[in-house]
Amino acid sequence: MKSTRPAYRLAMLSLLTAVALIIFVIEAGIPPLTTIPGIKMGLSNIITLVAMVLFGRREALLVLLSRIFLGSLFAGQMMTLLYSLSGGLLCFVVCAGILPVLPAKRLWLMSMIGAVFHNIGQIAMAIFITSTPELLWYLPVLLVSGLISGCFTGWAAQFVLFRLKSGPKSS
Amino acid sequence: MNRKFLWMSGILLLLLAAALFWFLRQRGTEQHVAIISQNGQILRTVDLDTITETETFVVGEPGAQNTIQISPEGIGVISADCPDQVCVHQGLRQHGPEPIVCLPNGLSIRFSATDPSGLDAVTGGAAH
Repeated sequence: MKSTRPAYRLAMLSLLTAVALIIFVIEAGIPPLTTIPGIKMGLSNIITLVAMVLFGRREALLVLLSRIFLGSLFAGQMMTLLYSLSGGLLCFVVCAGILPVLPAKRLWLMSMIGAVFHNIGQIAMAIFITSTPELLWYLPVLLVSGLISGCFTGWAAQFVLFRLKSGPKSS
Repeated sequence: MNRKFLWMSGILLLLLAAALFWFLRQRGTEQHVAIISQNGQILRTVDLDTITETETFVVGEPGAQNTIQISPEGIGVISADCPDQVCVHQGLRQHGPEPIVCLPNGLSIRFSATDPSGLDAVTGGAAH
């Protein structure tokens, strides 16, 4: 999959961004599963993980930032931007740090850790915006939900990568 | 063997943390003062013990607006113009350690045992 051809990379990264955006918009349309603020599947992170493994950290960051900015535009709320940025960037930094020491089979583990930090970043931003430190009461539940959703998205990313490698060559 | 021990201690630690969380959560049922704030600014504090009739009011500006209801059953958000409606589904509450929040609108309703504004129980306007 790795290619140095700039046009190929640009096309692939744009495609990944588009897919991530579609997932993000569809997920935003799903009514929340619980009454606890911040619980989400975080499905678009699948694409960030795929981009990170296929192309590298810098490219994954580009996909992530494009998705966050465009996604917030589509969501129509600039607050979404702040929450997505704080969670997404913290998650990205942690994952980018783990990636070099991670076996390919353990992508789900990285995703779980990333999801936990995503929730920590978001709750920190929420406390900052509302100046309500009591929001920390939601943290334990969010950590558990982050572990579950992170495990799922990581597994999904591993599945996508497996299919991309073993699937029929389209070119 | 070593792996098993790690797993066991990990699970034990998690259970302990959950128990602690549960124990701490049980406290705070005496907190009957609700503090409504938006973007960190306290808009209003309400002593829920003194409420005898239902009152609704709107906070925020169009685009970031919530309708709050105060009644003898508790306080809660009954409508919001945010897309996720999490705060509406949280319902009416009288106490609890966790605040009711509408994160997209920066709104929070937290509960306290004492009135931090030092004003009367039902005061309007931004005191701070």
